[in-house]
Amino acid sequence: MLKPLFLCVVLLAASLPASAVEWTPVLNGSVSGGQYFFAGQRGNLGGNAALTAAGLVKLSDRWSLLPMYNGSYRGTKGVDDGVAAGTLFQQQMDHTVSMTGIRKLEESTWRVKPSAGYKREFLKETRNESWGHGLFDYEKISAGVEFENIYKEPFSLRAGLDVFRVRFPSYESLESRSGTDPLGNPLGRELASKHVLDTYNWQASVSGTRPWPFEDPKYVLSGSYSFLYKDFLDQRIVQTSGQFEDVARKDFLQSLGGSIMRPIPMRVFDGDGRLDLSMAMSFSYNRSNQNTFDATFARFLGDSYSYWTFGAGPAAVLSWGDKKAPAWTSASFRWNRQSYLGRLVQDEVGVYGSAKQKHDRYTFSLGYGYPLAPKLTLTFRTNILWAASNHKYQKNYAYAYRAMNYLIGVAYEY
Amino acid sequence: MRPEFRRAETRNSRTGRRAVFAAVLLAAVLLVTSAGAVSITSADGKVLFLKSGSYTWAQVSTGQVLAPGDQLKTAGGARATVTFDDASRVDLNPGSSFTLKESSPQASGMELKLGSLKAWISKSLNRRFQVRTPTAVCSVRGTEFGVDVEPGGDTRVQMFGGLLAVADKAGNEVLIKDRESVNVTSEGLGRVTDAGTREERGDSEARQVAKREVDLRMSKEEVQAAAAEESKLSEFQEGKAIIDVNGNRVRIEEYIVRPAANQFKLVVLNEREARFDYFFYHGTFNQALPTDMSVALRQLPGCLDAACSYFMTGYRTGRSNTQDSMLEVTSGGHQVDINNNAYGAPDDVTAAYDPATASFIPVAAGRPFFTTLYDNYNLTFNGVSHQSWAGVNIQNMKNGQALAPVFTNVTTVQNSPGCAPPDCTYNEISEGIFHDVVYASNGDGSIWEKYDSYVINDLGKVAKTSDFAATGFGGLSFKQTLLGWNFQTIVTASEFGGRKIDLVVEPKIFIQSGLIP
Repeated sequence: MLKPLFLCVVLLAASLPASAVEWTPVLNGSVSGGQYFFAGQRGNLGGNAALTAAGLVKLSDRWSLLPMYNGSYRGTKGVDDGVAAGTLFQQQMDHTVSMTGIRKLEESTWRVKPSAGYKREFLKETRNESWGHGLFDYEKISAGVEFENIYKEPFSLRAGLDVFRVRFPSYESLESRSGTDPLGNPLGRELASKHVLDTYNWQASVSGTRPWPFEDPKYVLSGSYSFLYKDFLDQRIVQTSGQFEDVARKDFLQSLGGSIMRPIPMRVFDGDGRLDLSMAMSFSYNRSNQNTFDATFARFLGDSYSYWTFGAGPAAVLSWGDKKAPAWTSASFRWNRQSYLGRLVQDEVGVYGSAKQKHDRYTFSLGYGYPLAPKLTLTFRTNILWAASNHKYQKNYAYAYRAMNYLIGVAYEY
Repeated sequence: MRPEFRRAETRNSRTGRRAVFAAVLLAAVLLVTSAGAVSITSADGKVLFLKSGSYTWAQVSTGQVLAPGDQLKTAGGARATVTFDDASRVDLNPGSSFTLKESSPQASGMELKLGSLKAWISKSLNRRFQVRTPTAVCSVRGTEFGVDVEPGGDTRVQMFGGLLAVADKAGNEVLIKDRESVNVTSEGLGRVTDAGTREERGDSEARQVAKREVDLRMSKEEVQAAAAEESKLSEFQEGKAIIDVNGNRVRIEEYIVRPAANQFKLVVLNEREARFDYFFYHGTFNQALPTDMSVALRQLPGCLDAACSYFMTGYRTGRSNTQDSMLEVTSGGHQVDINNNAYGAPDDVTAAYDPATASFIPVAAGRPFFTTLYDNYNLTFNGVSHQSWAGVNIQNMKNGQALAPVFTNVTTVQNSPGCAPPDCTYNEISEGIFHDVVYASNGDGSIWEKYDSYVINDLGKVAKTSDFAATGFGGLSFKQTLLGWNFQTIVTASEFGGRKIDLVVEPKIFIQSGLIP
């Protein structure tokens, strides 16, 4: 399982240059502990850790390389995680290695950045799952190229193309392995797919940041648009009768985002400080050709994976003290709505209504950081989520609830 | 510029006296005209210029020549480069306030009241280069250094190459060398620190680029990870993975197969890490089924007032762990008004499940209720019959009654006090949990079957009686509440050789299919 990961690490190590080139390391790490609360239940105390290690290798005036490793372990659940089976117990670990090339184009502010990466995520949600054998473990192989124009440091325009494959090695549909019943009749439907979660993904994106006003900036504007085509090669379309059609599922996800940020210098505790105020908005629209068939109610639901989402919310960060190691406190609020185009609501016992599902999530976050030593910061974060929905059937998955978590730890940045 | 001119002089010395003379003459002219010239060679953003003696600030333009006393201010985000005649250069960072104090062949002097600058000073034997701040004086020859001035005047001087003399207002002086730094406040000079390592010099340009690239890469990873996360969530939302009573994950898949026009087959698959169990319900109807099967399936529990238009003439249902099986096979299905048959009230239906509303509704005495009775039935475990009946056009299921089938039961349910747990029928309701055991055996106990059932939620928690306290037990509300839970039933039998069939199924599946009345 870990072979490809090991291979990538070896390749990365081999690609590191000898002493002749300039090498700028970046190292970020954090360790924290905390708890997750859901609907009056309290999870055990758990720990989180994250490490990012990278180095910018300047091979020449034109070419640089950025090998990078990122790993994290999460023993406490985040409030944004879905609430289904395994609500209180969850351990997650992921490892990512990537290599990015940076090529400055002659006599221009443009850069071309080809990249490739490999990620493996491990998830333990039940007592009988062990690392490397989690049902929803996945691996991702990606490659892409980005064009960036840093037209006015640090502001830039970017355009990118990425291809990535997501594979769930432990997940196969049960139906594809069901065989025959004791009377010799097949248990599965014709054309039953096997690797129903695996996808090939193609993404095109553009994004940029801009000072405003341009000559005497007071605000920072940023915006992005992306188009993602997800091809479920082995997930066939469900027909009205609940049987399969020999057509694969395809999703088209478009995302639009924007934000405005205003840094305000101010006096804090008789010293210099800065307040960063920002407001962000996002919109996404997913169009899928897949339907569902609820066998319990023998009910066909067309277009049940198409949806749009809208999110918005303000954030504020106040920092003060030593500019290189400031203390900071932050607060943010975010509202997200997801509206399905074909998925119908159900009442508490599962009876279908005529309205389409709408889910709202309100997240409020607070944070505080205090510098303990150069590069070392004590951090505290808490998140509170209030989820609401017009879909009342919550036997399998919770749509309306309150959850909270908190984390206390230290962060190191080199 | 002087260095370039010196190179020209060397080349011209080979070409003859006239050329040498012309060059020397030109050099002399240039030296006179350019000595001490200072100009703005780059301005980005809002950079304001105040001519000495003037009171009006104006936007500076590239090429602007500065004279002693002239001032510059850079706004937030703006930068400017001041270049001296000897190629020395000063970069002013955003938010800086700068004054040119002196510019002559002997000395260049400037004042930085606020902000920061970085200077590259050409080596010169005769020329002194000085930067003043509200608290410090930096004197240098041939070096690269940076000066940061805080609003209160506190100054930080960092050396990147060369030698620099830094003095405070009291005249105390310290020499800092390559990669050292010193802070100067109104109280005087601070301690010289070795800023030779990168972390002490703060973020270098290369580090900022590296951090930026790392952030961009991390953002891209997050976007791509979200695509994987969404695939997983959709599986959760369809309830395909829950936890069983033993804390193990059970994957569940439920679907309907259409083997023939008048048939349907509901299949429920369970998978745990080391086992695979399934349940199926294969029914044959009295006529071809519509595309929307719910029209027919909702009539399975029975119909009020009139006979069902869709009913099953036979079904086969089974459970298996892929090795052992429990099968029920029926045939000869027909509609009977169970509330008005010859047997009378004992087999009357008083509450009926309505699939349209997923709820139970009361049925008044004598109100026609049509259900399907089967003339033939056989329950087998690995092919061995435990219970069966046979009849012709049966009208009730009461053993010994007229128009009832003939029962051939190998096993009968064993109740206390004739037996004791674990091989007995009992429950733990009195202990406050929904755990129920049904045990049936033949006379000598050589043939037996056992159903060990739990009512659990999706987290594998066994339902407590307190969860049903508000609804009471056995009534409509109780059954209604039960719909929100799962049934986990572990079946063992004398034919299984110690193995079990362990299934987690939604009760709605059983109720809707008529298997639970």
